Amino acid sequence: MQKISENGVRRYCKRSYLITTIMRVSLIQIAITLIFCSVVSAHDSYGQGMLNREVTIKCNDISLKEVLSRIEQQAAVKFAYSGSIVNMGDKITIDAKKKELEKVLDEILKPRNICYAEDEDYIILTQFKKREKDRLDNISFNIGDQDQIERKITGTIKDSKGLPVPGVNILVKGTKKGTSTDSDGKYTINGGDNSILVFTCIGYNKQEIAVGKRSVIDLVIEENAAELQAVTINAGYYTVTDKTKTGNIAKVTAKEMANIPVASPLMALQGRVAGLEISPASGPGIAPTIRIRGHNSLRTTDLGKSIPGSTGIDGNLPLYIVDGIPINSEPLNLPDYAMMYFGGRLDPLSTINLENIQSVEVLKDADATAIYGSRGANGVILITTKKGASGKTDLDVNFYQGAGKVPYRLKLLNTQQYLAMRREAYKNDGIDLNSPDWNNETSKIYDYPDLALWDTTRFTDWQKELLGGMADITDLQLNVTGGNATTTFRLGGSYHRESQIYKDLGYNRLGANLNLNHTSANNKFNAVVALNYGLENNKTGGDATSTALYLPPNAPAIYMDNGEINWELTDNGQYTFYNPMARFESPIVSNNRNLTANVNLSYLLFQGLRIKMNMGYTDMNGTTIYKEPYSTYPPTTRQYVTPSAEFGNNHRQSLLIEPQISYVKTFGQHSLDVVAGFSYQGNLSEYQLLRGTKYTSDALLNSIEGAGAIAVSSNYSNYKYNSVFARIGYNYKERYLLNLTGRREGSSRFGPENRFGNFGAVGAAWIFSSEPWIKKTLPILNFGKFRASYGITGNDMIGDYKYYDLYKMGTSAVSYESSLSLYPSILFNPDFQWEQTNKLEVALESRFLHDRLGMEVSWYRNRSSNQLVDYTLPAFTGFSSVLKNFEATIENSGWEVLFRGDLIRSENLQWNLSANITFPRNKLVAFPDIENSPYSTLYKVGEPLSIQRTYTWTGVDSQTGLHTFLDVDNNGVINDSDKSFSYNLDSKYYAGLSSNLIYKGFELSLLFRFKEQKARLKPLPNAGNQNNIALWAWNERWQKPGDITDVMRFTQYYESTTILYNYYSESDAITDASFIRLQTLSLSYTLPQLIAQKAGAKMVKIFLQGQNLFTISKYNRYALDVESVSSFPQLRMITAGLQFKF
Amino acid sequence: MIITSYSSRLRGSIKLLILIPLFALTTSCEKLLEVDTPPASLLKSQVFADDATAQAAVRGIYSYLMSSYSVNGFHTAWRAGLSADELTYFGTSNPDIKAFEDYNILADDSNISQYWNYAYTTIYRANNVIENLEASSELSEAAKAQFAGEAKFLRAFLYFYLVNFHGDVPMVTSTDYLTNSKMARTPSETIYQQMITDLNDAIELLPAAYPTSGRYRANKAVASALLARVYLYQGKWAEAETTATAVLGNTTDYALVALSGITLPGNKEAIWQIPNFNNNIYTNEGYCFYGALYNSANQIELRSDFVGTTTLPGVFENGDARKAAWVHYDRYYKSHWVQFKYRSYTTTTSIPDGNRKENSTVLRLAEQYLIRAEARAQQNKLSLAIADVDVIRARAGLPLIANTNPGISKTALLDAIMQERRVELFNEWGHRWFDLKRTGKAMSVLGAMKPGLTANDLLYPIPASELNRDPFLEQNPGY
Repeated sequence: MQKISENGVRRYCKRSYLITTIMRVSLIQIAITLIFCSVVSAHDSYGQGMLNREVTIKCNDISLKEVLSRIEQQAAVKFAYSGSIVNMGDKITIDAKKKELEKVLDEILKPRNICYAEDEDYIILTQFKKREKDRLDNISFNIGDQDQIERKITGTIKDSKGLPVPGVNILVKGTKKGTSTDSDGKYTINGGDNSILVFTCIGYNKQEIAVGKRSVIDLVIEENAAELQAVTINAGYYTVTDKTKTGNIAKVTAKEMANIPVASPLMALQGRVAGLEISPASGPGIAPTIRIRGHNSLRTTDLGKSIPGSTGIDGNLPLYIVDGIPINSEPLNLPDYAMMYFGGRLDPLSTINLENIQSVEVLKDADATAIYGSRGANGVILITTKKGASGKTDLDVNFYQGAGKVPYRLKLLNTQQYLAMRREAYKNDGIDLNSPDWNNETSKIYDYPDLALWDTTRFTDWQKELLGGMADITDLQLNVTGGNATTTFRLGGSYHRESQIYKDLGYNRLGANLNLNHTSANNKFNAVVALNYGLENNKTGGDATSTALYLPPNAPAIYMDNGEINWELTDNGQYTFYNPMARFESPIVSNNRNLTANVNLSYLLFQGLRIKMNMGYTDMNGTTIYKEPYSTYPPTTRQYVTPSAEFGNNHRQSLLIEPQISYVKTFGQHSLDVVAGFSYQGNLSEYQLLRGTKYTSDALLNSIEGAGAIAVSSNYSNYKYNSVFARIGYNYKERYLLNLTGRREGSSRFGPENRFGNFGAVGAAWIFSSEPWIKKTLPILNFGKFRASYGITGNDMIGDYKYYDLYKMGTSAVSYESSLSLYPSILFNPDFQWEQTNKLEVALESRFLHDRLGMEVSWYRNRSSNQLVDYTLPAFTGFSSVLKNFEATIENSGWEVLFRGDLIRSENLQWNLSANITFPRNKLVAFPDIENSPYSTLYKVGEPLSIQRTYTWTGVDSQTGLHTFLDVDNNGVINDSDKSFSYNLDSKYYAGLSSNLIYKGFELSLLFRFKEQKARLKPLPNAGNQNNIALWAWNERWQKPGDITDVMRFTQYYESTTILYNYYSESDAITDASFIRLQTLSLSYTLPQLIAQKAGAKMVKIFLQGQNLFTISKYNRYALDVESVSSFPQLRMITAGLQFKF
Repeated sequence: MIITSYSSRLRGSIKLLILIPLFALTTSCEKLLEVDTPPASLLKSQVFADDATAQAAVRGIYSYLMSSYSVNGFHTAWRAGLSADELTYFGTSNPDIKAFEDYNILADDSNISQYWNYAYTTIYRANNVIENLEASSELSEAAKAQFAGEAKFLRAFLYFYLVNFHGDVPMVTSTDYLTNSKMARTPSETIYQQMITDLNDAIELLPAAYPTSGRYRANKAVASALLARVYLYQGKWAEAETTATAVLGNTTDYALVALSGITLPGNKEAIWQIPNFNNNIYTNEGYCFYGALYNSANQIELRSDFVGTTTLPGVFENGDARKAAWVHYDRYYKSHWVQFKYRSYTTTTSIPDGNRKENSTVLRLAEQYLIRAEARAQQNKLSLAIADVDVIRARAGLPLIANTNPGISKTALLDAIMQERRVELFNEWGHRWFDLKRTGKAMSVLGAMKPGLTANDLLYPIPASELNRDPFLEQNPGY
């Protein structure tokens, strides 16, 4: 309902539907306009059938305002009216029992010459004759058209607690004139009588207010965007609202991601977006694996199978756009060994600071992605960074610090059990260690130092020793915002550090960012400059997880008393312990620098028509050094080796130029929103690997110059595309919506004949809740939308120059006669074309009970065809593959269900809950002649791409104690022909559940993730060799003929190891690895303002965050983590922090 | 009034709506899509426009022979050595390698496909050079002739090994992958004909001198040496004799050297050598046969997985200097020996001859003597044949047949030549395995040692992956 605040200013709520009105140069019209200009809407409510509701009201001589207020409460309706109507001063007396509202209103209003009309969500009261209103319905009027005298309008914006709200964006509707509130919630803007001011702020409801004659407009805005429909969503080249969007775009706001202690911004999205699967990387700075709605391409790198002829290019990467600039999503190269120790390649987004992100939008269906044409097939991730705010200069300080630990430990054997296991293995193998063959020095050193040479009473808990360390995390953000009515800025610096659990290793990042926004005095010209610069330093020694699990419990100490690496030398200098931690003495160091710059200029040519120029530049540089010094080798082997070092140098650069034109027009109940533009992008990517060998000393390894021999290899690619694109958004009555997007695009990755491709989509939506008959029949429903989209997107992730007949240079160091050699690098095919994904989606969005409950169900089906595959050729043609379009079709279909509930929405206590669940299904729909293709052993038509071809495990033979497998062809040998397609690794469903509870200044948020998945058993080491094993395996092992168990007998023979290997990696021995994880739990407290002010701050917030607090899974029996791509587990991290605003 | 102003506005909008698609239809500028090629690459047209770059493309063919996993001296010798009676697998970690010794090779074995793939990739490069030289008008005639000669020689060289390991194989002589990918196996007779044609062409095209310093590139003698071997394998005795004589006759450039010197770079016995990868002093053979860095979970030790069979030392006659010079015993190997023709592995002095520079020797003069001896013996030119064998025996410090048994029968002489080949060429480029096969003695000699041998085992399988990719290919029997 409407309230009058203390200062006499009306409190307006959002959603004033544009009351289209008309201006006539007559007094009546002016009067009408005045009325209308101060008309505001009420809160969203049951729109339909309002007038038919029954009201019981009895009052004596009270004001009209009070009467209306009572009716509002009773009938759950909202009135919209101008102040002049209710301030007429006369009192009302009425007595109505269970009367229809319509009749009650007639009784009250008719005598006062007030008309009422039912709009979508409220009842509008107007003081003029009915016939005038009829005219209004037929003729429309555009406020911005009128010549009007502008004046300065000022005001203060506060929240429901009376605190000023800074950063509220204020826009003069229909123009691009805008400003935002300063730290005191104050604003100044130019506008005329007919202007409508639009107030938006993340976390608050949007409001529109007609200026009328006022020059001071104060406002109380409502927190909590329960009004989802009004949330502005970035669709890339244009924006839409949640209400009017026709495609599937998920938005995650800064608030949801606040203070999550992760280096990669994308990791903060885990569990928050349906259809988005993120597999974490092994550590900060390393690219996680991102999949939006599954695998669309056969060119995959993450399904645990080696694709014949694969170039290692991942065709399933989404497109990343940061502030309008595409960022190459391909992870950056590292020297091979560095990649192994880092556990992956470098993340191109890691220097984008999470705290600088305003929102992340994930574009999924054709309607949303087709405007990105050639690169939209795997979805688009749009990152928008924070902007400045006008007003007094503010300093924001955000700091957190915390610590992380490996959360789980496996129960392993103690020394006595371990030694018994080893002896049992030798006994099982029929080996007598006292026989001359074995009882000799060589055998003791090489075969069983653990039994013969090491201290058999020693015990070390290697998990505690190697993985028990504490990682620390520190994050500091400083941001200054400020500006005036025309120019705002946000300038910031950040520091982020995440150490590893091992000594002196970890990730450091320094960042700087600047956002400048200027609007000309006449509000026609706007310029935005955004700069982001990041410096990264990442050091690793590798991953000690498997060492910690496998190292014998009586293995010697890692370090000697003098702190040097211990090789446990014998008296004559022979080492007996190949120290696994020697690698950590010479860390792999990666240094990267990343600049992103964006300039966006726009100019309003005339009303509704704006021209825009978007330009972007990115520059990324990095060096990774991997050293292999003498010190990593045992002393006695150093005579056979020489130190070596690898230097990997990355350089990526891109330039984007995008002139655009947009046009917005409303005529009558029709409105049109058109964007068209041209896009040019040039991408340069260089990687140079220098491998220096034959160094004579460890001290020389820091430079390539010191090498005795140098080998150089390089990758270079220059990738360009240009395109024209357009979007036409049309709606009728804001009820029937149509969205057409199209892009014609050329990519330099295709031969001259096949460069250009056309992509496009059509999306449509019907807001059926606006239909009167729905309002009548389904009063509980306050928003309902049905939307559907269909379109075509492309994929050109195939690498560059594939259509060129290129000769590569062999560097002289490795070339014949040490001179230049040239050789053909690929079999060229000038004829390949775009890979194409057809996307279909239908969805139902609904909200009930004043938006308190919301539900969205989408069904999608993406079909990727014309697959570009390195098609395998017989090797005798000279190459094993050639890039070619192939008639294979992959289908990703599925259901995504979102649920949202504002369970409690009172002044002091708010609780909301949101959940998303995805049921994905991946299927190879067609693959003509797969039986005769090399893919016959990798994929199966009708099955997901992750189908695994394995032996069928038939248990441990109770007589021999060995694993057995089904001999399908009965030839007595277990070989490749006994394998069959047995299971797939796809998840049947995955989900996220988040809850947010606010009580006064306290806020408690948590996020649970669920995932159904299967995984191979994480291999136990060969039980019997010099490796520790899990306690359960000891307990359940086969010991003697007749034992029935799943754990093979202890053995140290190679042949038996092969059987074990087959069991773990080549058989259907899989297990349920589903899990539930408490991903995030955070508690924060915002100090009452009075206390904060005493501390000299505008705002003080303290918070506590926990990451990965617990996981429930059966898989814990086998591995430290159910989720890590590499074996290093996700740390349990607890951080505490402070946020100040000065 | 309002209506009219409105409709004019509407007309403006419609105009705009028409303009947008027009704008969108404007074809994007093709020029904006032009990209430069990587600086470390050349377009084919650039490569064959200049003698220097064309020569680099020729080196590109050779360079594959030098890499660690290619058709090199080590990879050829270990498999043939295991399948014959020379080597035994001393390692424990790789049953696939042991299979070459026990004739359990699987068609999908990666050792089989790797060797095959490298051979054919090298052949592709040779075919590619041959085709592009023909098409090029910018190169000098001399360069064209030399490069074509080298490419043809290399093509013949690789087919020689493919045919001797696998029997009939697809004979690819062009780069047209669309046609080639559907080929069936070509009878080995046809391939031998092609080798003879290619080598004769090469002899005609190539200069007498080595084009560069060292003996790394083909010249007339290199092509002749291989051709002599091809004739020998074909039983074309007269041609084999003549061709070998052409090489042996050049006594200025070629001569036998001391036993310890046969692997030294540019030594006079060497007809063709391959330089080392990364300009190392040691060869693949030295690295792998004398002793590779053996690395397992808990140990690093210098040792070889490929050691001589226990019976081999016995095949040397008493007093054969080659046994002392080319065979090495190590405490580690106990009753086994390791090949010591290549004795350089690392720079450390703890290993004998660790500091000397060596090259992988592919063709050497001693073989030419033995080829001619055999060819002559087959033509009943026994005394000439004895003279040739005795050249080899003399160097080994052995009594000469001319002195001990001048009246030796043809059969006995052929046996003596075979024995001489066995001890002279042991563990080099598969000679023993091929000799046993071409002389029809494989079954009797090897079958006695290894009962598992069947006639089918004399040919290695066609890689299973190739059969998958080309339905016109057929597998060798027994696989």
